[in-house]
Amino acid sequence: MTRSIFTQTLKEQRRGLIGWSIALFAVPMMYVPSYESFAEQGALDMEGGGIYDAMGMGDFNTAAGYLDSTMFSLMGPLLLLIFAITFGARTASQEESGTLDLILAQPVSRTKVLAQRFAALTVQTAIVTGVFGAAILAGASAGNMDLPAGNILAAVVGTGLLALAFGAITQMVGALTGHRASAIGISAIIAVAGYFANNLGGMDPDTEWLRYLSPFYYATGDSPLTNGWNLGLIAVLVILPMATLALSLSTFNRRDLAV
Amino acid sequence: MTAPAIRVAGLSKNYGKHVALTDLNLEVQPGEVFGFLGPNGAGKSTTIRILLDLIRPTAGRIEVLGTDPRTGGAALRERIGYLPGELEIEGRNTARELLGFLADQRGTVAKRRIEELAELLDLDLAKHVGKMSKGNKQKVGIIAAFMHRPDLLVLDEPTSGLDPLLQQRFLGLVREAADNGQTVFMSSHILSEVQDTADRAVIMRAGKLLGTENVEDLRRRSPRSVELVFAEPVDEAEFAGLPGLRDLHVDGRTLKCTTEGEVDDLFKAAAKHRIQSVLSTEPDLEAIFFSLYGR
Repeated sequence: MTRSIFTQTLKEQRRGLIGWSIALFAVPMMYVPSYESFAEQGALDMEGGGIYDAMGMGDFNTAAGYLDSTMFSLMGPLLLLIFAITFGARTASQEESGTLDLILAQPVSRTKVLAQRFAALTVQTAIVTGVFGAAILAGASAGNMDLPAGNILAAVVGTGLLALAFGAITQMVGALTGHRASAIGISAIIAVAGYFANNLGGMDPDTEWLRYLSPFYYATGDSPLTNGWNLGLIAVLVILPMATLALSLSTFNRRDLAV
Repeated sequence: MTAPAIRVAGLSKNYGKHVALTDLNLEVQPGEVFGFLGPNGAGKSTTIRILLDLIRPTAGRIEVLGTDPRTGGAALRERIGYLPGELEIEGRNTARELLGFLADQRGTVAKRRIEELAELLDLDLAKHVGKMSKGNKQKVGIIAAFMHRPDLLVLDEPTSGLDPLLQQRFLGLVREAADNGQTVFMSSHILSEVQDTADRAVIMRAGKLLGTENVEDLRRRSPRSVELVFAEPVDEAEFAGLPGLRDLHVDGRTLKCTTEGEVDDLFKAAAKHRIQSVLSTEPDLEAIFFSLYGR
C-alpha cells in the first residue's frame, strides 16, 4: 500500500488515539448509567445556584439536565478539546523538531501536508467522538434515561464539531507561528475564554451577545438534549473549521519555515 | 548549452533587521560536484533552504534545474535529493517505515535501493528513528537524499556525525553520483571534507561570498600548521628565512610553524637533521580566510 501523509499521520498517532478512545468511553460509563440510582436516592435534589450556572450546569434533576451537567457542560468538551488541540499541534511540532524539512524535501506541497493532516484530524475526532457518543447512548439506556437518542446524538455531534474547530484553530496557530507551545497555548486560551463567554454571557440578557462569539454556544447553546438538532448552529461549527483550514493554508504557504 | 543546475543572482535574505545573506551570486554546472564552504553561521543553511523553497528570499533570482523553486513546487523536488543540516527526526517509526513512507511520496525509488544504501552505510533499518544516535539519523537522511537517484543532490553538512570510515563510504556515494552525471551541491565547514570530491568550491562568511575557488588550488594554497620533532635541538636561524613559512617557533627539539604552498623548502632544511616525528594539521576555515583574504 502506498502511504500518504494522511495514512501515515493516522498510523503514527494510533496509540494516542486508542488511549483517548478508552478515556472517552470510560468517563461516560462512570457517570451516565448511575442516573437512575442517583435519582431514586434523591441525591440529585440539590439547589443549583449561581456557581453551577456559571459552569453551565443548571440542573441535575431531570435526565437531560443530569446528562448535560455531567457530560456536555464541562467534562466531555474538556476531554475532546484537549485531545483535538494536542493532535492539531502535530505539524507545528514537526516543524519545530526539523522533521518537516525532511517531509517537504519530497515532492509534496505544503498545502498537501496541511490538508491531509486536517483530514486525519477529522477522522480521529470522528472516532473519539463516536466512541464518546456510543458510551453515552449505552449509559443512557442502562440508566433508564428517558431521552430521545436523536437528541443525545445532536449534543454529541455538536461537541465533536466543537473539538474539530479547536483542532483546526490549533493547526492554524501552528501554521502561523511554527511553534507547538504557541499553537497549544493560544488555542487553550481561546477555549477557556469561549467557555466562560458562553456560560457567563447566558446569565444576563445584557451580556447575551457574548455567547454568540463563543464556539461553545454553537455546540450546546440551544440545549440539544431537550430541543434536538439545531442545524443552523451546527452549520456554523461545520463552516468554522473549514474557514480556519483555508486561512491556515494561505499563511503556511507564504511563510519561512522553521527559522 | 544546458542551463546551470543552480543559478543564484543577487540573493539576499533578511530576518527583520538581521541580515543573513547579502548579494549572493553562484552558478553550479550540471554534473559538477560543488563545495559550499563556510564556518557555522555563515548563511550556508539559509541559502540551501531557499533553494528548497523552505524559506523565501528577500531579494534576488534563483533557478534550480532551470526553474524558480518558488513556482517549481513538488515537480521540481522530484528531481532533488535534500539532506537537511542538523537533521532531527522524531517519532516511533523504524528507519524502514520512515524511508518507505518518504519513498512512497516519490513512487520512483527502485526496490532494494533502500536496503542497499543501508547496508553500505551500516544502518540497522529495524531501529526506531527517534531513539537513534545523531550519526544514525544522519545515515537515514543520506539514504532519503540518495535513494531516488535525483538529478541534483543538495546536502547540508552531510558528514557531520559520521565516523571517518563512513565519511569515506559517503564520499564514495558522492563520486558514484557524479559518475552518473548527477549534480552535487554540498556544504561543509571543513575543507578536507570537500577537497576529495568537489571540483569547485565557494567560501562564504557572514552572509557574503568570498570567492569561487578551484578546490585543488585552495588546498595547495591553504596554510597548514606543521610540527616537527627532531632527535636533537635545532637552531631557529636555519629555518627563519624560508619562503612560505610563518609563525616559526623553535623550542629545543620541537619546531612549530605555519606553511603556505609547497613544503619542499621546509623539509629540505629539516632533512639535515634526524627527524623523529611530523605532525601536519589542516587549519580551520577561519585560518584559511585569514590567509586567503587577509581578514
